[in-house]
Amino acid sequence: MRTLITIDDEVEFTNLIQCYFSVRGFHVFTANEGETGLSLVKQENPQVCLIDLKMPGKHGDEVLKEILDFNPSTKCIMIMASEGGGKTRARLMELGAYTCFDKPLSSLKDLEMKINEALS
Amino acid sequence: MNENLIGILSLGAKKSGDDFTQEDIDILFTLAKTQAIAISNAQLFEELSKTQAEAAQREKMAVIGTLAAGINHEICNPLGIVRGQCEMFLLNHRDGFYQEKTQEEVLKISSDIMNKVIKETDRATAITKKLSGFAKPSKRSDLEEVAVQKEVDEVLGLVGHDLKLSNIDVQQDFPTDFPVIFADKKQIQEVLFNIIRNAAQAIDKKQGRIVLSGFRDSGSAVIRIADNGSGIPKEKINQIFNPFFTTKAPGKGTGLGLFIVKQVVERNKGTIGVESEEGIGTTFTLRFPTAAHIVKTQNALN
Repeated sequence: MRTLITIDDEVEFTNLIQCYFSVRGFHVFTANEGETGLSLVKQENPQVCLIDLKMPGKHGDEVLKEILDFNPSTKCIMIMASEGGGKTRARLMELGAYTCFDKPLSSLKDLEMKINEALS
Repeated sequence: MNENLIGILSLGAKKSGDDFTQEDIDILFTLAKTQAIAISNAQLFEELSKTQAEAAQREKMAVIGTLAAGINHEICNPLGIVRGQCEMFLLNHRDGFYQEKTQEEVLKISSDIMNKVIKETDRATAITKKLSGFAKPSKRSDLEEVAVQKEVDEVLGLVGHDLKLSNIDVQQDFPTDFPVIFADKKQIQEVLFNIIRNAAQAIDKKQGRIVLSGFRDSGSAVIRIADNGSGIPKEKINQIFNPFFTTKAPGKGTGLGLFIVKQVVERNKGTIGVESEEGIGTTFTLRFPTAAHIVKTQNALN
């Protein structure tokens, strides 16, 4: 089974991702702050991570770096509020993110397609 | 005055029926001049307070601009959840995930989604209400009984998320019987907002802390706002309430924040004081007469 971990301080967001992807053949784990997310990643070694950029405590870019240090083949999708703009996006891609999605998500379907593409 | 007509002094006939003498006219001329000065001073004062009110409003709007990111988060996130929940239901339905479920089960799923939608819409609405309430210019002398703790909550509703993202812990310590004050609610929000925002900007540590507390001191309600920020240098502390004085980097502050805060506090019959130690933090102390105290004083006067 494919494993996905969603790390976001918004509980409703991680719940939504869990509901949506668990019926679509994913094993979904949720974490609401960076540190917990990282220990989950180390425990479950997921194929995909959805990482919120702005979180209290450990920021999304640090989480991204540490996940890729642990397993460089993890597909990390950054979820960021659009005010970050192109520069932030470029920086995250340089750090090794698979892609970036704006928050709020414009479509779950698009996210699903991107995740399937990443895993194919 | 300076060739401008300020007013007309109109005189009735003398009681005695005599004509006005040159001496009378000299006295009246001096009187008219003094009155003209008084009138034009009053006009200037009115203009000045209007300018000050405008400056205060501009400062407030500038401050709201800095809040944009946090507010965007507080409005967009609930909307994203609402959209996501609805989209999930439609896609699950389309993809046949509900086929094996009973009608009752599907009804349960859709009511759960609707409840979430209601909760999240309420959340987004609450923040827009807070924001528009805060942005509206306050009318003069809108005095009413104000429960400070409630206004603290309103302001934290606006800045709370930004503070959380900056790893600033906010603690509140108001006794349950903290007295209500008699003030302009919006202006009290402005004051709290400015001081809390300044405190947040002064925090350079990894773990920031802002403590809001209150206590009663005979006829006064005392509010303290303490941060563990960088503190204000001794030689500068006397200047912080001066207009255009700022220790912030260019473009980061207008230098009007605390100047306006002090004026607003005084307009609400309060006082403001500050203590600070470099590297340790800053504490602002606000003191307002309690509503009960004002009523008592008025009764005594009557």
